[in-house]
Amino acid sequence: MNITQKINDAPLVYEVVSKARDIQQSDFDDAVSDPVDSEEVYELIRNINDPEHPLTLEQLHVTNKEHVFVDDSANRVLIEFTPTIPHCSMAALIGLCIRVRLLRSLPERFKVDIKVREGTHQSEEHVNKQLNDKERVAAALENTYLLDVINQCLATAV
Amino acid sequence: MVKLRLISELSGHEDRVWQASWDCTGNRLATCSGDKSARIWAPIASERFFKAQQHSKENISDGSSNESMDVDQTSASTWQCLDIIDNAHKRTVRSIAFEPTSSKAVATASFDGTTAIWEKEDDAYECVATLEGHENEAKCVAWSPSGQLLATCGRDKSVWIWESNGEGDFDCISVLMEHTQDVKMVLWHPINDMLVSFSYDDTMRVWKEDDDDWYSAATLTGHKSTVWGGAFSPDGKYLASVSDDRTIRVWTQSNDDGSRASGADKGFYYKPDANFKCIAVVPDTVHSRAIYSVSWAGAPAGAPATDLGYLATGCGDNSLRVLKVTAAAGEDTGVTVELVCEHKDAHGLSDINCVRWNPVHFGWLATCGDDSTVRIWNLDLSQD
Repeated sequence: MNITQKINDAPLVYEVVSKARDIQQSDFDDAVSDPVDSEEVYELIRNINDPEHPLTLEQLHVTNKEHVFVDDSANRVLIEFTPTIPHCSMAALIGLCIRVRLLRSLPERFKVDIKVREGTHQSEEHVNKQLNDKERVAAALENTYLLDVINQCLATAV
Repeated sequence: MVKLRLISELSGHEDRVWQASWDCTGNRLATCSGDKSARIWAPIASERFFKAQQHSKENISDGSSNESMDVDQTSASTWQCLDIIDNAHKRTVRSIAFEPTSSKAVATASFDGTTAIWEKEDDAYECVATLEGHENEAKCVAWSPSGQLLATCGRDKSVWIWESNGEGDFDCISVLMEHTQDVKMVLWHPINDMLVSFSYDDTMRVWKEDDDDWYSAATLTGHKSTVWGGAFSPDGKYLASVSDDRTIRVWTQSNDDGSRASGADKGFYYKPDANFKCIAVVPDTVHSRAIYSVSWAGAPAGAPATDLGYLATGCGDNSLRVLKVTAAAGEDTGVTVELVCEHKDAHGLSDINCVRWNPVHFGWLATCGDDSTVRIWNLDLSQD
């Protein structure tokens, strides 16, 4: 990507607090179904790389565990992400990376809504509308150049 | 109780199916997909298939159970794929339309920005014309009722009108740039040469022509989000529109002279001489996610004059719904729209992208979904 001037030259970097999930007896029982919960979805997106810096979305507090809402029985997921600065032009790209990550990892039954956290971006409605228009997303993902950029961001999200 | 029975499931597409179009005889169906191809389907024995409206009574399903649908045992073999068109478009084929007078030709519009016209020569469909011009993805193609004009629209905010030059090719006669965002669909009035476009800018525009000059005759506002599409009633008196705001709006042309000149209406080709008013709104409590498609079937033969037919909607909440439209008693233009059938998980746990009533055989519906299949349904109005 030809960026000579970064959108956000000096982002705030936060420490990652990693808490391992407590293993329970029921985890080993195949008869017990484990619903998808916000922790599991957060695991999928926390390590996505920022397009500009060699840092994860978690380190930049762009994605936060508290802002991942999952309703397994209704097959709904809502992710609210927080761009580092209100005029971040990468917001749509970051949202798209989250969407692609979940498209590739979550069961097909889930309807995923991705929104900018309210009040954190000057064009949040504009960004939200694009991210949640499935035709626009489908067309964007046919753009090989864009797909390369997205795949680079997702390379760290193993 | 009105029921929708699943009669056939057509598999073959390898990616989501975006749109379907019935031919003028109602005996063939064209579909297009994210797999970059278009397919033409037909029942193996059309006359028998469409006449057998009462499939065996044991196959009744009220549409509320997820698991088995009342698929007729032999239906797996009653439809066949006649043709596959897969060599023209380099990206998703988003829209497809049979030419309405003879259905010799079929048009496809693709995310690659082009619209292609196909005609069957000997055994396969050949591309007889390629219409270029859109700057990015083309989203819809539609033929005028006479088959002489074609309209296309796309993400570049424009609506293009093309005219057939008699030799199988088309000349662009107008490029209309009044929408402020992506145009999702274009739709011709069933009788007059009037066009409606539906857009990501939350509005709809009505286009008419005056001595070969096309202009914007009205802007329909009211929806609170992207307007995905619409359908005219078969007599052309009413227009239904569906949106990302989860509502359905029904419009009609009114005769009052109050012209609405607001800032949003100003445009270079704007002459406000068509007055549309919204006469009914189906609230957002009925559909729980964006509504992508609507189709309007006229009332069956013998129905009372107040019966204005049935709307079918395809929604992002996986449900297929049928709503009955009735003329409101005592009012000149009022209508009531009432949900009469809701079939959950019509395409499994996938969005429904397109619904199309058969224009010839009453009660037959084709639907396309994100599950890569096309499904054929029959509307059962019998009360038992």
